[in-house]
Amino acid sequence: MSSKAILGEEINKETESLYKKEKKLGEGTYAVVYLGHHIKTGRKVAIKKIKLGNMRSGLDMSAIREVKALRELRHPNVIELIDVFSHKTSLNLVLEFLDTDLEIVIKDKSLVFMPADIKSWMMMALRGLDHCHRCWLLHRDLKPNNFLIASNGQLKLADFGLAREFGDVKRAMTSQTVTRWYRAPELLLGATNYTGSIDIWAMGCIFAELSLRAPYLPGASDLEQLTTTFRARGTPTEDEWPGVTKLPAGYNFERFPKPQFSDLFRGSSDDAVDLMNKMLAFNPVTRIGASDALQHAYFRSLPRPTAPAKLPRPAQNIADVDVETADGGKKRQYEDAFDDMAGNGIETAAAARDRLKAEPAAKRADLRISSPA
Amino acid sequence: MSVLASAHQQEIPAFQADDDTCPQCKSERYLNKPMKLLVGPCYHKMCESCVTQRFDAGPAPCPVCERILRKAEFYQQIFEDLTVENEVRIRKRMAMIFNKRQEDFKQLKDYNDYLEMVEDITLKLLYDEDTDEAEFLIEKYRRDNTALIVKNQTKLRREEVIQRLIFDQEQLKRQQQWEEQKKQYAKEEREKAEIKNSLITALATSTMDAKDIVKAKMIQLKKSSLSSRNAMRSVQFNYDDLLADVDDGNDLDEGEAESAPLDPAESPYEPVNIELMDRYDDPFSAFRQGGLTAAGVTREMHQRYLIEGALAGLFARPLDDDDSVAEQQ
Repeated sequence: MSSKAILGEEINKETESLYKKEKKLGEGTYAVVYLGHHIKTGRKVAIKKIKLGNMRSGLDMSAIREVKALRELRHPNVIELIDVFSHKTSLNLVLEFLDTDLEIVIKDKSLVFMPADIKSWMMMALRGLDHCHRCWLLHRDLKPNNFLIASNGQLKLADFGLAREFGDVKRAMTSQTVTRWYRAPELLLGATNYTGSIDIWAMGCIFAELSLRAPYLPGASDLEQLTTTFRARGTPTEDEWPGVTKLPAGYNFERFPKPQFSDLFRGSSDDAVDLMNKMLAFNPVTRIGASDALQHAYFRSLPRPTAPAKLPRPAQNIADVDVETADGGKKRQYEDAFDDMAGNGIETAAAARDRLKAEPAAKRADLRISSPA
Repeated sequence: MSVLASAHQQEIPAFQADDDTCPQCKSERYLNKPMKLLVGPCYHKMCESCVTQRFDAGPAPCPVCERILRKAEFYQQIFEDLTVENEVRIRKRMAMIFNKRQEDFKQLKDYNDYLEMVEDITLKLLYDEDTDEAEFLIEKYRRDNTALIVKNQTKLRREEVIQRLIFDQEQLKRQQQWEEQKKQYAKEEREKAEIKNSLITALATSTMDAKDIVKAKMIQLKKSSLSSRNAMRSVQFNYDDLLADVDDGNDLDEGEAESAPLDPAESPYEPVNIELMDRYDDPFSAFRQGGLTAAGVTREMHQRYLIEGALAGLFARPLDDDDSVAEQQ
């Protein structure tokens, strides 16, 4: 027994010695993210140090969820968990280092999106999500800033702090999940057993957001979110969504007529609008699945998706700066980039991710409203 | 010109505001949702029923500026700003008459002079200066060039028809390609399933060594997937031909690396193919009450979850097997 414990510590020490921390990227209430590198290969990594000191009952739930989920997944469009090690009382996750995220890209008004770019992002996002769903894993917090973008343009699904397994009917799940603007109607109506279709709804909202360059369903509060959803999509009827009235909060709502969806998405092709409609279908049973969405004509029709390396990306990101050189000029440039971000009130992807993770799910959406849009 | 013409075909929806009010009968959009506000040639608004009332009997003066108007001259507003509306109307009319193209001129300078002349007349009409002179010039040009105007108009119409034909054809082509690929997928799946089945029956019935049977079947499986993959590739090459047709070199980025066949559902993993039986003995009663399905949980999904969980990894070959390593490379 004791020899086993010693062996475990040895392995832990060995893992820890593989990486070197360089610089703090951001801090949240429950974790600090550092930029680091693998000493032998020089590969850049993000090291997420989870503080254990202030946890009353063991490890934070989302840390466990994240490790549990990422250990199961390995896919080009899912962030890679490279290693895990502990140091004194902290848990360290060694994650793939990614420069920017989709929210920063959407908000950068100097970037112009072509339909092919949106198609490419959607394709990569759906591939990552399809992989999660095939592994019976729900992400439960899809939103633009949880899609990180690597320096080669690959979009990667990140932040699995709310992820959990699905498929088992006997185990109830919370309906208080997913950032409000991307929350599926069945969650808003209090369903305690749901499927991958809640992630698809969020993807549909992101698809719309990519086309509009603005959030599609920005509800101001949880109750208002349902009204916002129904106003934009029409109030579902029992015909359209059998069983809706039997959901916990499924009583009578204000009736909104179905607006003409394509009016809002003039710039999108018919294929795109059709797929968007299928992803935002009210009935979760008929809502398209991730793998079926990838087979949709939208991804086969012209224009072809842009190659990841050619996708638009913000001018200022951490990838442009080479930290490893000892050259003082370059180093300063790197620091400037960070100062600029801090000065503009823009957090780095990692910092924002971490900050949001630190907030309980219910509080999270409120936070989004109050932060400058 | 072609934009205007096609806009005319597609019927751009008329401009409407929530606080529209008819200046004549004062009826509001709030109370009368389908109210149609029309604009006359003097750019004064009136709702459709007022127009009918006032002008049904024949020409009558506009109630605002007293210009004599006819019912037929009223039209639906498209742009919010009436000055824009006016300019678009004038330019539309000019474009119908002054429809010479560059190929109708011998020299570029002549064409430019012609364009300048047209713009001069247009501006006169726009700013209401020397309108009589402008109208005279238009009439003169129309008389002098009747034949050419008609010729260019038919030319334009033909071009539009051709464009539409090309577009329709492309769409049809794309659809066919897509169907073909879908069929190919289905065929591949079927073949795989057949081989698997025959392997199981062979293992159950044959007296040969199990190892040999598995080896033979594996070779067969590889062959079949290879052949169908080749067939696939030929389909996708057709797709690239189509691309070459469509692009016309407009998109400079398109080329070498990008023309590689694309599979949107590409995944580094083999899909798990488990066919569910029609029914299982399932004592779990949650599905009988409904409710669960409203949130997307179906009996089929739950059963698939349980069965995939039970069978996960059961058919995966060990990694250190020489064959599988070779296969991966």
